[in-house]
Amino acid sequence: MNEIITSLAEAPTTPPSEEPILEAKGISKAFGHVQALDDVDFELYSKEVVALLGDNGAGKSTLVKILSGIYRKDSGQIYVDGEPVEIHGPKDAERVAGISTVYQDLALVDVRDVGSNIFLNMEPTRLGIFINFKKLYSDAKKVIDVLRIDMPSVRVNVGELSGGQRQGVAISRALARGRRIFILDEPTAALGVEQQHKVNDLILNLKAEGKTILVISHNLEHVFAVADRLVVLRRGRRVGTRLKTETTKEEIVGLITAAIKGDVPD
Amino acid sequence: MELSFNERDQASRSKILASYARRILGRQETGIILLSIALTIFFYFRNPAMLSPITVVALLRTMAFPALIAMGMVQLMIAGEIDLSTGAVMSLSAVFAAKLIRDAGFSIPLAVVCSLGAAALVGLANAAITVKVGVPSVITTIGTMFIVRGISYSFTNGLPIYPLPPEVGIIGSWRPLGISFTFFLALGVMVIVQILLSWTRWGSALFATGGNKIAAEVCGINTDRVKTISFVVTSLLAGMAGLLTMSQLPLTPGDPIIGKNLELHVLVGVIIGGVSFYGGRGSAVGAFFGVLFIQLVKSGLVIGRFDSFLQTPVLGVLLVLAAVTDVLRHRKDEG
Repeated sequence: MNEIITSLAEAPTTPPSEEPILEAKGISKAFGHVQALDDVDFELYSKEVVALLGDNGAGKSTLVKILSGIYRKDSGQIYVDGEPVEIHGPKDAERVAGISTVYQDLALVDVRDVGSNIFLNMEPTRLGIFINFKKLYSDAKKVIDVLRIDMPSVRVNVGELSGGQRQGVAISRALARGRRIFILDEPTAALGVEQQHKVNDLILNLKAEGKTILVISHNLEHVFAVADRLVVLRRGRRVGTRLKTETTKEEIVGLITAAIKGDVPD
Repeated sequence: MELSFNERDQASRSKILASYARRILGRQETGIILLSIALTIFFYFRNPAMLSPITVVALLRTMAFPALIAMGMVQLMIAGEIDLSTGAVMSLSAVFAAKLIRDAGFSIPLAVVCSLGAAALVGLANAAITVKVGVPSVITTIGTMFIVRGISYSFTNGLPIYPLPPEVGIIGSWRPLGISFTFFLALGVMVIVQILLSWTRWGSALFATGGNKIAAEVCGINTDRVKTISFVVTSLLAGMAGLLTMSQLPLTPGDPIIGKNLELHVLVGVIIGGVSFYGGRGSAVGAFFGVLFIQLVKSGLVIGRFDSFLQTPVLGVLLVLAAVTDVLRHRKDEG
């Protein structure tokens, strides 16, 4: 725990002044009569950790799914490095914006080992046919070591790993693919306290690698341990943005539950 | 409690050794090979003819056909699907080729190509109905099994097509080392499929597709294509098995009864050989020996002078036992 606090003290707490690497302006999305997102702006600066907060139905998932190409927005515009882009699917999100989404269910193949999961569908080959397992395992170990994930071996089946280790494998896979923006959907859900701390370390290590991270979470403990900036959504609108150093859990809870009036009228 | 990198490496090395030992001993392949040996010894004591050259050669010849099909089935099942139409496809390809040769005056190679084409079409139909429409493959392929077998019968009015030119029997009667060519073909295909599964990206895509379809798709694997290819390969191998059966002139000309119940032999063998019907697990070697094991049971019951009516129920019992093992293993893995 002390470790985390020290690294927090060192972490930059103000957003850099340069332009955002990913920006969404005026995003709206309706499902039938339900306005899931109503004219929401959102931005990510390079090398920061942003937490996206809100109650169930606040629009967090919708916003993230639009950014990662799973949903199409009704209106609004997304910019990558200041250039307007269209994201038509998850592949576009990866290719155009370098966004990789690590899902709650992690999408790992339990019956395959760690190395094979990290390099799934991008296995290094010899003669273009045979998988070069030696390179695959040594590269996998390098990624695991960069993120300082506690892992017995890259040859154990993913099904045998703990929740935190599985999260690590999922993030390693995105890292191995050279992505720069990582969207983590409820990374601490269903994890014990110790495993949650490991995920915190993992996120901070990822940030130290120069990556940008967007975390969706209900877990304020976790959010305050890793995030630089907190964005609160309520009923499809962005009601507050706070630097972690300038806010409290009470204020954030108030913004989420509407006990505190938002920065924009409801 | 951070271990230094060296300590961690050593810890993992002993773990890797232990896991290798566990892998070899715990493998279903090892189990099925040991079981096959035990069963052979048992039947040998019932009747020493079990190990006579004639029996062994006949046994290897007979098991070669389901073994060949099993090499497609293992890929399909690892990808999470199943094919019960293989026996019917065998029949169709044999009957179709025989008809083209005898009645339409096709040359043998052309007839072979056409009938393999027909087999591939059945595979494509299985894939389209399963993958595109979403019908479970068990249902799809039971349907195509009846349709294809029906076409075979109506094609021939239920009668074998003969006479066929003797050239049809060239490959089927070829006996390198006294053993049928089909056996060596099945063995060769087994080696190729095992290499595909263990050391290529195709194998990796198969395991991912059957192990966790969403994970495979997130990583950019086209799981629909993987399954379609597996369906077509399985059908093609069944078509080849049908043609090779017909090629055993004069035993079995273009007979619509070819491959009857063989899909069950393939299915039971493959599952006993450690291929899971949950997908994501299995090996070509295991499937091959599983099929051999079933043949040992079938032949052994005859040679060991057991009641001939025992064959079918024993096959059923083995299927249920293998399935129960599969379920228990799956449950253990799910934690």
